[in-house]
Amino acid sequence: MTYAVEVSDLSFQYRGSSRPTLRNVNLKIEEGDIVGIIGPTESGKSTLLMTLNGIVPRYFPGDFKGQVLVNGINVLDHETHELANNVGIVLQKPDTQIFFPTVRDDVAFGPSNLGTPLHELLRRVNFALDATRLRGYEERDPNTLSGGEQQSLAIAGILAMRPKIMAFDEPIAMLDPIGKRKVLSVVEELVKEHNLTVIIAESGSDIEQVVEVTNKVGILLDGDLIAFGSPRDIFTGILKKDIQGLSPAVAELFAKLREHYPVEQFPITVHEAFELLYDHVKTAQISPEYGPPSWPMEAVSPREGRIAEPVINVRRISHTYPTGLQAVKDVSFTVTNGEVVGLIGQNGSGKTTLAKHLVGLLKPTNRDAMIDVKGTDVIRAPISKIVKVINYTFQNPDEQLFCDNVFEEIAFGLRQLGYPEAQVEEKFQRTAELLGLSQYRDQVPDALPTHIKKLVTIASVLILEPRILVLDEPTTGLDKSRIDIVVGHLVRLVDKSTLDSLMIITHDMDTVAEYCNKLLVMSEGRIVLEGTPREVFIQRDTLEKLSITPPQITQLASSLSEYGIPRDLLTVDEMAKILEKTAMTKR
Amino acid sequence: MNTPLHRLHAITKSIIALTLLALLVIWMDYRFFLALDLVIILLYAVARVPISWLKIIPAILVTIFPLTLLLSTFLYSPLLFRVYPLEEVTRTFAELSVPYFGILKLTYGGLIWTAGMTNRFMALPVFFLFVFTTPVSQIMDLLARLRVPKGMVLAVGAMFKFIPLLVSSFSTTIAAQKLRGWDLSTVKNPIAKARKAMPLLVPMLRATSFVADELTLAAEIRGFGSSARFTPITELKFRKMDYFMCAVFSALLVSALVLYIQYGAGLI
Repeated sequence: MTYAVEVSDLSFQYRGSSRPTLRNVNLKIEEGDIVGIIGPTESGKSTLLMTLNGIVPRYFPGDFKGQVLVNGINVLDHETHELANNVGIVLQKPDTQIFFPTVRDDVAFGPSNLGTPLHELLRRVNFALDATRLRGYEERDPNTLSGGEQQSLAIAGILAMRPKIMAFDEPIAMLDPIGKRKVLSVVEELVKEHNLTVIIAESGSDIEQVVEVTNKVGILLDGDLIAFGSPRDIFTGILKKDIQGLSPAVAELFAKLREHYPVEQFPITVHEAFELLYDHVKTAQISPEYGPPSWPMEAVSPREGRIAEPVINVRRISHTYPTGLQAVKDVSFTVTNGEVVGLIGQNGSGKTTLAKHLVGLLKPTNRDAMIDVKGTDVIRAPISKIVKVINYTFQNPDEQLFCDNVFEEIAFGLRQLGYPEAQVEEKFQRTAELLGLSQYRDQVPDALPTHIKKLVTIASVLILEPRILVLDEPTTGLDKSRIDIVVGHLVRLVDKSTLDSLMIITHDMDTVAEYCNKLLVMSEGRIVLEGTPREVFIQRDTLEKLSITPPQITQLASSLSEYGIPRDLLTVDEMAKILEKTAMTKR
Repeated sequence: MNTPLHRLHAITKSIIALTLLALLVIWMDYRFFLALDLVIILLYAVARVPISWLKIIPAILVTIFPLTLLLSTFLYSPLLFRVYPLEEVTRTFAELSVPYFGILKLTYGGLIWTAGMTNRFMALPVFFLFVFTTPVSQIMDLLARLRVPKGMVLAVGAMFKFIPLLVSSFSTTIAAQKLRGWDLSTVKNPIAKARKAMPLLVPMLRATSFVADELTLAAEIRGFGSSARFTPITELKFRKMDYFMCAVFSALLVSALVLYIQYGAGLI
């Protein structure tokens, strides 16, 4: 039998790297499969995908052992462009995969390169546009498309080359909720309608959406493919081995409850979990005392013992860009001491524009706006003063790191502001300790893992001792355990009053559910919802209109709410505690 | 955008652009180049090229004009002028003797020459006109038809993507460093300024390399590198207006060249 993909004893070590990225990987994928390759950040997923068309080892040289066959063809025997009709790879960032100023031209780029005759080229372009639902967008400038549409365009560009296998490297990691949904539905349809074989690499933060479309998953840990098979078997297996953070929340729930609710296979979707719990919950007596309105859970409790005083006071901000785009429209809100605020909404809803006003990077374009942060008038104050009160870190650490070692990098800000060396050293030590970076003092920032680089960029502004910090997409590209390290550190700083408040701009609903105690939901430049995550995530109708999907546990709680389960549960622990109690009551 | 200039064939627009550029080079006499400037402005308006694109021009003028003016103070020999009466071009407004350089004179001829040289900045609006009205795919198609090597054709295409990505990354770097207390505006000394630019240069170089790698990778995945001949998706056809414009601008170029060579038309 010829498999779509057959990987045998594959090991690969990048030139200059001290350890192998892939170790003895064996994998057989049948035609028509949708396979999820799940693994933490830097576990070797992208490398595995790039071996499928020979980019590894051709463009990223190193020690390559084993064999990769694609539709029976040994990839090492062919150039990458010769394999383009067999394997197409869609990369994570849509903007670097789009070359041309119109959608149609960009879709045509691949087959044009292969010298496809014009009539066939037009046929393929039309096919790809239809399959990715981009018909009608032919003359649009890709820059004017949403993130999801841009990724669909990247898919269309590959699809026009008519590959039999499509591999996606974390295709939805950088997208907003609408974008994620759109891209995955396109993938599902491609397999159904066109019998493609699809491989999706995922690091865990979008695992729930990805596994809904897959029929097989493989778990890649530190270069080892430790399991491969049907999703339910695999997640049940890894959770029984106590490997956390790579499974859907409902599977983790059943792993926690396995003594009380023994099942052969853990569910992976809300629907499956509902089916398994329905009979039990229907007959159980769920006491109102198990749930809200007062629901003090440790992870999301309000920071107690503080006098709630406003630290950010924003009134009537509007911002219109020179292009005429009104990105923020008459926004007012207050943040008080101890609040960890999640700023959520679709791409283009105005989140980043709004947040940049808080640190003076942008100024409101209306005259009657007011931004007061801890008594500082941010609209008029010089940036050198603002950065000591409130600061901001960007998504990509590579866009700011430049020093030879972590100490220099973190100390840079203080030196710029003329602090004496003794004070620089003292403040460095304190900041590095707060974020667990002391051990990296002499290391080159470039060589550090992504999550540590993110912590270094955070430390480089935290050393200026701002009272409030704004983080732009801190979870992008990180798996659950690394998100816990980065965001967890900062939330603890709020708990310890080292910071008055933290604002997180994100599309990651699990992170805001776990760490935030206030949410601001933006849509079309306005704040349309404001409240605690519990208050926000139970507003199903409004969220649906905004295409925001609450965490899996909240969805499950909501579907079981008519049987007494509190509908505003947010985390696996909360749900597990209630179900454990009901199980014990039943006994 | 669908202006009459957008509808023209890329070859027609190339002929128009090349004619305008050639005339900008040869016409130093303000009586000629002002008429040419008028044509360029007219075409710019017809094509509805954003006025904001011209924001860069004051900076260019501020750089070019003083340098050209300085250079013109060396050009007071009557032998340099062919058309204007000698007594006019040698009329001197100021004179200065500089050791090693000799005498520098600010003359009427020097001013005319400065005006002609400075006016060459109008090449920029001509370039904007061409880029704005010609889709990248047509530019690539044109280059491919001119037998420019495929790698270079695609490099031109990628450049249009590469630059905006870099600009965006560069703006983020500037903002991120400002938030760490970095401020370039307070430094006046150029050497100190260059040294202080390190926080921008390193991330910028990294971004350049990253974007270049990503674009190369994405292009490779999409069959770039194949030896097959690139198939352009747009099959442009010459229309009546193309023939007309090509004829008008070719005639203009040829007659301008003949008059220039024969009678020195456009010279000063």
